[in-house]
Amino acid sequence: MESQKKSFLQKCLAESVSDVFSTMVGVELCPVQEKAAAPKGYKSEITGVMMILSTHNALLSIALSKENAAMIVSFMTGIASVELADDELYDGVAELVNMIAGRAKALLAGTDYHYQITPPLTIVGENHFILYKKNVSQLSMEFEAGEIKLHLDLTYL
Amino acid sequence: MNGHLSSQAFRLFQKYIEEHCGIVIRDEKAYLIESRLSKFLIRFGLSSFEELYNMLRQQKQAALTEEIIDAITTNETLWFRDKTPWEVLEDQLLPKYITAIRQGMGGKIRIWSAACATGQEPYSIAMCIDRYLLRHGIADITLNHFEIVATDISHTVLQLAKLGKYDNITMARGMTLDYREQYFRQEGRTWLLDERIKNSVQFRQFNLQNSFIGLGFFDLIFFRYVAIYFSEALKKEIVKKITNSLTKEGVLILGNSEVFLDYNEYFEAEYYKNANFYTVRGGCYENIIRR
Amino acid sequence: MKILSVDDSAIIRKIIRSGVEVLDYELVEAADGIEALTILERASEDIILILLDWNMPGMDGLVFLEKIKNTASLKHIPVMMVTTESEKENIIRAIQAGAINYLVKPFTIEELMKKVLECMGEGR
Repeated sequence: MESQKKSFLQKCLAESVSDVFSTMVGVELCPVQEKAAAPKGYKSEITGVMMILSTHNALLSIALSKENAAMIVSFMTGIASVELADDELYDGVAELVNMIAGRAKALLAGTDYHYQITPPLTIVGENHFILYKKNVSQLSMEFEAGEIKLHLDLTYL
Repeated sequence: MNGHLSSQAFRLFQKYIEEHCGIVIRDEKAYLIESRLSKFLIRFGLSSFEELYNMLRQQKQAALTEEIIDAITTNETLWFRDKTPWEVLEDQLLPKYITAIRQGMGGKIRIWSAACATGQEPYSIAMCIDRYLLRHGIADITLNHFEIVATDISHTVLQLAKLGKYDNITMARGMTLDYREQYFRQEGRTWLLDERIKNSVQFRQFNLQNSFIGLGFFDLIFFRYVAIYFSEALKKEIVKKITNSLTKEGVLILGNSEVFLDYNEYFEAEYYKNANFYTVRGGCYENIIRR
Repeated sequence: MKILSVDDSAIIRKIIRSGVEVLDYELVEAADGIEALTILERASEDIILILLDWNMPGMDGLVFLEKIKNTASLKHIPVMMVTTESEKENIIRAIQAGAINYLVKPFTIEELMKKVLECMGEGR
């Protein structure tokens, strides 16, 4: 991915993630400085996914641990994490990726990167990862706030 | 970065709001403006935002302008936001106020929470003072020796603030267990604030663009995360008005992450536990005149 | 007095419930337009406001909105959109279909409550 496009999309996604998390979760989630390229196939326990439909279709995903998902959904709802059912965690993560994609869509309206979205879905399973074909163009970002860690991928298909 | 192609009408509206209301609509937040102004579209039976922007630019009713400002600004607030200003209040200011009250200066210690939104800040002030008095065994002074005035441009958020009722989610943002146990009771999923604390705050609708004279003079002003929405011109004007509203050695507290570059003209800056607070130089009015 | 929340996310409906109950309204929930229509057929006189998501599987929010605005016994019920769709063309579409207010996700509880009060014509 050429660096100008990458930089533009990174800013847009960082703003979207920040807005969604500060509003819905009450947490300032900040992008972590890029270190060495992250290995492909980030493993997690819960991944929220949206299809991005545009001139170049893509998959937007956010991956996190079940423990982090519980903490985040607890902050979103005011319900103690131990009282949350697994379905509620999956739903919460799906809604977060839905809102991140929606927010980014608004930021990108009128640009070459504008898109439509599909309903979100959640992939669940210990140590799961999404395997793409080799040489797909992918933007990966890490976000952190205290103990909360979130991995975001925008993968062009 | 701006990927959003704004119409010329929106740009003119953005400029109009900055010049006439002193509010800066940042490009990154432009996407929210249409949804926030949608109720006016409906109210005036208009079929496009271009028509709405043109109408709003030409109208001159103060009440409608206030509604517009209310609609486009975000009312975010937390309990005990930033944490450390409350330590400034407890460690630096309350001891002074208690001495002043005991010296029989007459009148109340007046505190203003500007742009109070749904009330978390003024209620945090009231709880902080009340708990301080209790913890230090101060029996001769109560919350009644303090007057806490909380203002906001929005009638609607003031209505919410006056309820003194909060949901689980709001309570999780900044409220500590000890304060919650002492000052709230739970009914279902809702938390009800202690009536005594609720009644210690006076809420008033107020537009910060107006003259501050009618509000009187204050010993302490919380003006936190308000000026971030304002144009540079309005910020300068507000600083002057705040200066003229503070009593001798009155204090201004801003948000911990807010930068106040030109404080030196009117204030001495002090720094305590990560919080900046600003004491007005001299103060414009003597206590005796104020009271 | 009841408010109907139509959203395919149980978490969003839970968040909405927190705000609505502070205002002393009871929240009735529907996960999609079909379920919402069933609820309205049974008890529309109790429902004083509908909070409506847009993108839902099956019947989307706009189709649902058009349906109730074309139903004599339901068209009087005010509807506020609660959705990630923020572009002005979509806002206009929703207004033309009969929505009286619009709340974009993500939202704070305070914004939700403020907008619900606006829908009820209060806070003036």
